[in-house]
Amino acid sequence: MRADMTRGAAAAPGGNPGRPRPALAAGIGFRTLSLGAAAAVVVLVALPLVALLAQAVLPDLFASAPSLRPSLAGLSSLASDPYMLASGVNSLLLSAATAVAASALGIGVAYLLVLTDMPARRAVWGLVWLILISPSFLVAQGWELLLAPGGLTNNVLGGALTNTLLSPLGVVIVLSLKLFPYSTIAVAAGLEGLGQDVVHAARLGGAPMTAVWRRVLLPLLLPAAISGALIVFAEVLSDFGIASTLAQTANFPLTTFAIYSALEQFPVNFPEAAAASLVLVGAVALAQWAQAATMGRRSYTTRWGGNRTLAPVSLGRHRGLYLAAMLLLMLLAFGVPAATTVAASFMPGGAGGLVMGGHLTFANYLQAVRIPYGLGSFATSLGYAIAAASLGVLLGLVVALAWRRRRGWLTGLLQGFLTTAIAVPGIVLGAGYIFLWDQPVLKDVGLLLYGTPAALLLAYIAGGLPYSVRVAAGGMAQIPASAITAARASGAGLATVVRRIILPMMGSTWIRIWLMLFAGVVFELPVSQLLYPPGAPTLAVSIIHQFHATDFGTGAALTVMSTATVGVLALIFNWLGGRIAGRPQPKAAFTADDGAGAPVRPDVHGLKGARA
Amino acid sequence: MRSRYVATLGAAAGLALVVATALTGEIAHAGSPETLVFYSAQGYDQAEATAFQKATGIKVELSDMSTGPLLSKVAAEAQNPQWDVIWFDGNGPMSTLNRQGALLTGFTPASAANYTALGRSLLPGNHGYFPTGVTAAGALIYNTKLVPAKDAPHTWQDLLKPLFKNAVGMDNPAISGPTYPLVAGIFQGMGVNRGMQYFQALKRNGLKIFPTNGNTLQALLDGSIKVAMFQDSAEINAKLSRDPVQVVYPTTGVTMLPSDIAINAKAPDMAAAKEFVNFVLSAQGQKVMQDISAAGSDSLFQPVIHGVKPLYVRSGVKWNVVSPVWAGTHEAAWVRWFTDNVVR
Repeated sequence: MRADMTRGAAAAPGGNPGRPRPALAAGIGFRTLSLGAAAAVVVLVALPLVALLAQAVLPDLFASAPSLRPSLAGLSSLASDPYMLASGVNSLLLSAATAVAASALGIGVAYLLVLTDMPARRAVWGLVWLILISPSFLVAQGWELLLAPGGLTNNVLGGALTNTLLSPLGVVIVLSLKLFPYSTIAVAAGLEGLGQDVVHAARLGGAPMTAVWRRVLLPLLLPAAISGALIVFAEVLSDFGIASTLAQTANFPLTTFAIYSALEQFPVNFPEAAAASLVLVGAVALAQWAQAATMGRRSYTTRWGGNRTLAPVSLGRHRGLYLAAMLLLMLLAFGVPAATTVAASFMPGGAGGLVMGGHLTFANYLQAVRIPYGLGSFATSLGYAIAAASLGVLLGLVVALAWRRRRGWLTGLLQGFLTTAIAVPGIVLGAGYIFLWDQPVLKDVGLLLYGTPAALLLAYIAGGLPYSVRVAAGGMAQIPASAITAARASGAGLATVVRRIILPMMGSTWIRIWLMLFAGVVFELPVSQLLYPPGAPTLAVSIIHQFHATDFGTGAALTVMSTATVGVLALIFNWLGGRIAGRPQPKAAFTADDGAGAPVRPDVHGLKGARA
Repeated sequence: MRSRYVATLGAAAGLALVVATALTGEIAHAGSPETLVFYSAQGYDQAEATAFQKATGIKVELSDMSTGPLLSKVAAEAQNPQWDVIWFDGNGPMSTLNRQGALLTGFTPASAANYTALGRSLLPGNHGYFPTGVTAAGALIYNTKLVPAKDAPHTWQDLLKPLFKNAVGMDNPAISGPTYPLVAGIFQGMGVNRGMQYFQALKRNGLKIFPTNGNTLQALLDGSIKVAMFQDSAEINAKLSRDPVQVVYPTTGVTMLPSDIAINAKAPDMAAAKEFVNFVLSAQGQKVMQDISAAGSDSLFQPVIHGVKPLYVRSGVKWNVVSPVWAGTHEAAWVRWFTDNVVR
């Protein structure tokens, strides 16, 4: 079914030696683009990570009396300490199992949402987004309240549910429920490009649905599915919320917990934290290598000129059943932990958190508005989130574009660093930022960014960059290379290619990337804790302070208010995205290039109403 | 129409730049001499910072976080420390920083003249850090609906009774901050070997381990357990919140957990730092620490300053002091032992 089997290199622009290369419209060439992308990734991601990871062998690199004295003490703890070893193995197994489970869920949900006539698809999309953006501490805390020995379900169910779910299997289930949206979003992007026609064609040809999945959908969706699975895999490796609560209560030690232990003991053991982080880095490198080996060098173009959304795949009589299954999934993944927090926000604050049986009260909400930095911290985080998401989308575009065709060792290395940034816990990236941006020498040149909002903003962008680049690259992979080659051969510069081919063909993907980055920053905790400018706390810092200092209720109220606000934003953006995705694909986007009579195309703002 | 994509991107970039500029506008101010940079893990830190700023006009920039990240932050800044004052529970890390020469020594704030005997006993010889109050790292607490007063436990050994089979809970020292000092205190009181045997006996009697205070108290209130041990300020807070609980101080004593405040040896704003520590130890500063509506259970500390009345009177408490150096040296090994032998 692949419409385009040509490789980009087959029609390189240099094929016409007699003619000079056409001038680039915006004055920026692909070479400048590559340099810019490399510089951004090095400064934002690679250097801070290296600053911390290097301490696995150079423990005194950033000590108060710095030296290059090498030592293998940190690394040797990996081999000699059975706890570290067990944590590493557990982390790998858990990540792999969750990646598989979350992908199965994610692919199924994406299929129902994009290709079928299941009712209320847009509302379900909104719920998928809510799960994605819900702060992970809300999910961890909610499940903990429900499942921990002594949690709410313990009395009702006599501990049966507790024993089942407070096990490695339970941890896989909870993590899969939280993380499947990554897979859904990656796969949905692929499916949107594919269209329903392939399914109809295969069905008309007499193929049963199982064969359609096996022979058509799964092979075509492989890159998107693996891309999503890799994000889930890395997310699980770096997760701390579940590692420190459910997994720890289930006696299932994980590497992130070992890293936090090393960083939060005193004296702080940076070499051991670096060594443990290297385990995560190794795991992701292995997964990336496996991805490359599986995919080979085939082309996975799915977004060719002619797909149109004509008739959705009919689910027939089972439409309602599928919808019910979807809603049950959403209830488990978001409703249950969210309801716990909402309930807590209306209960009088007992010292133990959630006190059942008390009268309901708005006191927590009044308190949340009254405390210093309560709402102010939300505004601060919104500012960071808007800035980081907007810059992150731009940078994601630049990097994905620069790496579209270049496959040098340097690109490979930088790509490795990007995925590594997902796999190491936030506290590692945060510590790396301190090492890098608190250098005394920076003071003389006015670049001592640590302690300023700039350092936190850069760290937020760095944390989101792997996602924006991956999703953007996934979207671009579906654009036929021939379209770009043809455009360039006809004299189109980089700016024209971006404006007339890449942006229109990726449609709503941009809005989704922006929202993903935005939500990730609004509720971010570990990096914020280490890097927020003193005196200007972010939302999560403020919420956690309330949980620790006063009572659960005020923190819960703040969580509910902010999640609700961000949720409404997400629904609006999702609606916008849906309007774009739901329209006919921009078929004519790269056929007409005459400037006159611009072809009918989706309105990216989604505000002006349909024209098609 | 085509230009809409460009317009959207342009608008996004413009918006981002505006916000970024607004955010980075503060760069010039960071580290300017009239601001006190203050890292803290205390519930009352925000209230204290606000009160000090109001009283002196000195701007306070507070970084509030848990003790763990606070210690990572201080350690990562070793080459170029940004903080003036740090404040957290537990004198282990403080004594390590003091030995490393990271803290200002030899300075005595005027308010320190008001220290009680307890306060003076916790003050290191070189005045590297200052105690601001103490709590017990762990005391006994039981559910009065499930345990009649005559059966209430009075010693650690009482928890081994068949009466409390499968009914005792505590926090995980690998997760909850004040739990390691509790374990170390029991090791010191009983001897390390007998202390280990004690926890293993508790485990055989069905000891349940929860992540933190909140979970343990929850279990105590919903009847999953009948008795527990955790930081006494949280226990007292439950009692004052009218939960059906009673707090008992074991006859063999409880481990004292001091809250300490210290000044950076290379504080960027030394004068403000000294003034702040003096303020915290003054009657006015102590009053702020006791504003329970702002600080929660952290306000229920035992004062170490003359003339400051505790919000809750602990009667009949025998305080045990655990050597911070001794406890700190063994922390990693013993927490791991606990994980391997008691939690699992």
